Amino acid sequence: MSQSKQEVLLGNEAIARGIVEGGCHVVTSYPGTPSSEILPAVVRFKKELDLGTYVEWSINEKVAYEVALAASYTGKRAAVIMKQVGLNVAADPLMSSAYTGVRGGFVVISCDDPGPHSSQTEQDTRFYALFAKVPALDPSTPREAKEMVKAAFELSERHYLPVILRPTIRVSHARQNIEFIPVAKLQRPADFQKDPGRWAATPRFRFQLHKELNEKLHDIQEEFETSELNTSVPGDDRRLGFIAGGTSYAVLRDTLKELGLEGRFPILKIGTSHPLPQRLVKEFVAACEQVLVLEEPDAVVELQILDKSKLLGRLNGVVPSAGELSPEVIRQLLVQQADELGIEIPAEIDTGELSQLVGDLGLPVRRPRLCPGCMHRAAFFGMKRALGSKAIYPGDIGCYTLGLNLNAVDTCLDMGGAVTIASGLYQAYRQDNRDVPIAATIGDSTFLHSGVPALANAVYNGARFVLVILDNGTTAMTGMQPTADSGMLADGGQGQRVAIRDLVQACGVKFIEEMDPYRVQEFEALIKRARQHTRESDGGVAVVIAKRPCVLFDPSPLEENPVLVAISEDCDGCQYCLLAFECPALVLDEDLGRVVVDRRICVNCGVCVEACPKGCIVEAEE
Amino acid sequence: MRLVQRGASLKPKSELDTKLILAGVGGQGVLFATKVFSETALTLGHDVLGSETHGMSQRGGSVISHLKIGSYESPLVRHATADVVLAFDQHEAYRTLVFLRRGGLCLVNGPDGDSWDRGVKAYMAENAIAAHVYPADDVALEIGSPRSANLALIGYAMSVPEMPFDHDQIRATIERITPSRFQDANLEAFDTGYRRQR
Repeated sequence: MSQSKQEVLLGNEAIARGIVEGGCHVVTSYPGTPSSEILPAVVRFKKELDLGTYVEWSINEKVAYEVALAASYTGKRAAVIMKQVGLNVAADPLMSSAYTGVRGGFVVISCDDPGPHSSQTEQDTRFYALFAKVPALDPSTPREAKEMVKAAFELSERHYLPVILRPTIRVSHARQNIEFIPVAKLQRPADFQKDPGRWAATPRFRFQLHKELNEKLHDIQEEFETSELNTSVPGDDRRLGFIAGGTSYAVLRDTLKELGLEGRFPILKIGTSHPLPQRLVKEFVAACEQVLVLEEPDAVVELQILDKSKLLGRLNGVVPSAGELSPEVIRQLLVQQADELGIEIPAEIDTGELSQLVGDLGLPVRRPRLCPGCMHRAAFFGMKRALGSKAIYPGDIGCYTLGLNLNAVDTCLDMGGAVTIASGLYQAYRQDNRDVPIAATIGDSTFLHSGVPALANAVYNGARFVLVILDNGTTAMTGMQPTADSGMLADGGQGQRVAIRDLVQACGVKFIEEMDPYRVQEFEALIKRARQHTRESDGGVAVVIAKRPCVLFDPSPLEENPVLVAISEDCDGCQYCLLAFECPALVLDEDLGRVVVDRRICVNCGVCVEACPKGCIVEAEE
Repeated sequence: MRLVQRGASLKPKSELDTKLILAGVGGQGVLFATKVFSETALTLGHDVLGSETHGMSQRGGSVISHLKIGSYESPLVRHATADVVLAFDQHEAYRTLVFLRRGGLCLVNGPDGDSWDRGVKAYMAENAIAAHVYPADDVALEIGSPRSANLALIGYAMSVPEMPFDHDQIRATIERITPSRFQDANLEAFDTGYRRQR
C-alpha cells in the first residue's frame, strides 16, 4: 500500500470522491437507497477542499437529470445521481439526451438493488443503456467505482454522450480503504453555443442524430475492445471459463480462492457492460469449452453475446433468475460445475443442519417497524380509528410504507402512486355509484417528488378521497435529506421555501387542515371531517397535513415535553396494542403475562395511552 | 492488567487475514463497532473491505455487518467462512452462527449462564466453535451508560486470547473515533468488559 492519504469510505463516498477528483462542476440528485450517500459526500469534499461545486437535492430524478444535463450543454462536467427506479422517472430525458448528445462530461450514476433490499423492483439499470444506446460501466468494488467515475467523464467527453455508471448495492454500501488523489481543477466557463439542429432538434433532425448516435456507439465498442476497464485472469483449465462483472466478479474471485480454485480457470471481467466488446468476448469464449456468465441483477451481458452455444447462465436456467448472486449462491454454482468436471472441493461445515436447528427455535422475525415515537404511527392509528378496516388505504414510498404492519397501507406502487391510485379507485367505484372511504398517505418529500401533478389531476377530474400528507419535515428513510418545504439546501445553506400547504391550495383543494397527529382524538375527529367533506355535494379531495418532526431528525419537541407512561396491573396481555399500534417499546413479558414498556428505547411520546382500549396504558405519576 | 499476550491470535499479525461478522438490532451500535475494527486494521496498514445495512432494512430490523481484513475483492463474508461472530443480541447470534467456520469464535451479549439451545450447542462442539457469552447489557446498565453495551462486549472480546487484534490498538482506536461527549462512557464500558467484570 502506498503512503498517500487513505480513508475507509463507503462505496458511495468513494464515488463522490471520484466525482470531485474528476473535476465535476455540477452535481444533482434525488435520494434513494442505495444511492443516497453520494451527494452528501460530495458536499463534504467540496467543503474540505473549498471547491465551487454546485450541488442540489432536486425535486425528483427527471428534474435532477435535466438540471445537470444543462450544465453539460455549457461545457461543464456534470453528474446526476439516483437509484435504479429513479431512472424510470428520468427515462424521458435519458432517451432524448442520447440523441442530442452532450458537451461537458456527463455521468448518470444509477445504483441497482439486487435482492431487492430497499426497492420495489430488481430492475437492471444496464437495460436502460441498451434502450437509450449509451455506454454503461459496471464497477466491482468501491475503489474501482471511484476510478470508473473519472473514466466515465473522459469517455463522455470523447464521444459527446451521457455515460451510465451502474454500481450495485454491494458496491454502494461496501466499505473499503480508499486512496485520495488530488482534485482536478478544470476551468470551464459556462458557454452555451446555440445549435438548434441539435439542442432543439425536430423529428427530421432527430433521424440524423440517431444515425450519429449509432456511429458513436460503434466507435465506443471499438474502444472497449482494448479498454483497461475490461481485464482477464489467466487459467489453464479451459474446460470452464467465467465472464463476470460488478459484484458477481468480486464474489467469484473470493469464492474461487476459498475453494482452492484460484488461478485454475480463465476469467474475463467485463467492466464495460454496454456496448459489449464483441471480439474480446468471442475470442475468450472460443478458447473455453463452456463459459459461466455471472452478473447482476439481470442477463444484460449474456443477452448481448451473439453465440450462446457454450454459455451457462440465466437464459438456460443454470443461474437463478431472481435474487442476489450471494457468495452462497455462487459457491453452489461452482461446486456444481466442479462436480461435473470431477474436481474435488475441500469440505466445509454443513450449515444446513444448523439452519434447521435455528429454524426450529422459532425466533421472532424482526421485520422493519416504525421507530418508537414515530408520528406516522400516531397518524395511521387515528386514521384507522376514524375510518375502520373497510376503507381503502393507498400508500406510498418512504418509512410510512411500514403502515403496512398496521393494516393502514393497502397499496404501494411507486413514488406518488398513493394519490393516483386513490383517484383511480374513486373513479372505478363512482362508476358503479358506490361510495367507499378512501384515505391515501404520502410523505412530504414524496408529495413534492410526484404527488403535486397527481393531486392537480385528482381535483381537475372531480375525484373524492382523503389525502393525508405525512409531513415529518425531512426525507427520513434515506437519511434525512432536506425537502423543498424545509427550504434547506444540499450544502446546508438556506434556500427559498416551497410550502406544501401552498401547493395543495394551488391544486384547487378546498379542504386543507394541518394537525399534529400525536393529538390522536382530535386527529381522528379531523379525519372524520375530511371524510365528510368528500361526501358533501360541493366536496372533493380533502387534504390533511399531519405535521410533526421525525423523532430521529429532531427529537427536541419530545425532550421538552416528555410523557412517561406505565402499564397498569389490569393489563390482561390481550396484545391489541402490539398488533394495532406496534411500537417497538411495547413488549409482551411472557412471564408476567402482560405488556411492559422497554425503557431503553421508549422516547416518552405518550401516544400509546390511546392504544389500549381497556385503558391500561396510563400516564405515570412522577 | 493484561491477562494474556495478544497478537498471538488466529493469524500472525503481520498478515492479519480475518473475516468478522458483527450482528445486532438497529440502534445497538453495530456500525460503530465495525468502525472500531476497520479503523484499527487500516492504522496497521491492512486493506479492509466490508458491507453494511441501510434503508428500509435499517428500521428496527436485524443489522448484519461484514468485515474482511486482508486481500479480498468482495465485501461479503460467505457462510461457514467467518473467523469471528460478534453478536450484540442472542437471537442475532443464532441467526449469524451460520457464518462461522470450523474452529471459529463466537462472542455474544447475553444473560449469564448456559442458555444455548442444546442442538446448537452440540453443533458448535462438533465444529470446534468456541462460544463466549457476556452480559454486556447488564454491565453497561450498571455503569450508567446503557448505550455503551457494544463497547463492553468489544472489551470482553479483547480479553479472549483467540481474538485477533491487540487490546491496546483497539482501545486507542475507540479513544480516537468516539465523539468526546461519549468518550468516558465508552472507555469505561470497554475497560469493564476487558476486566470481565459483571
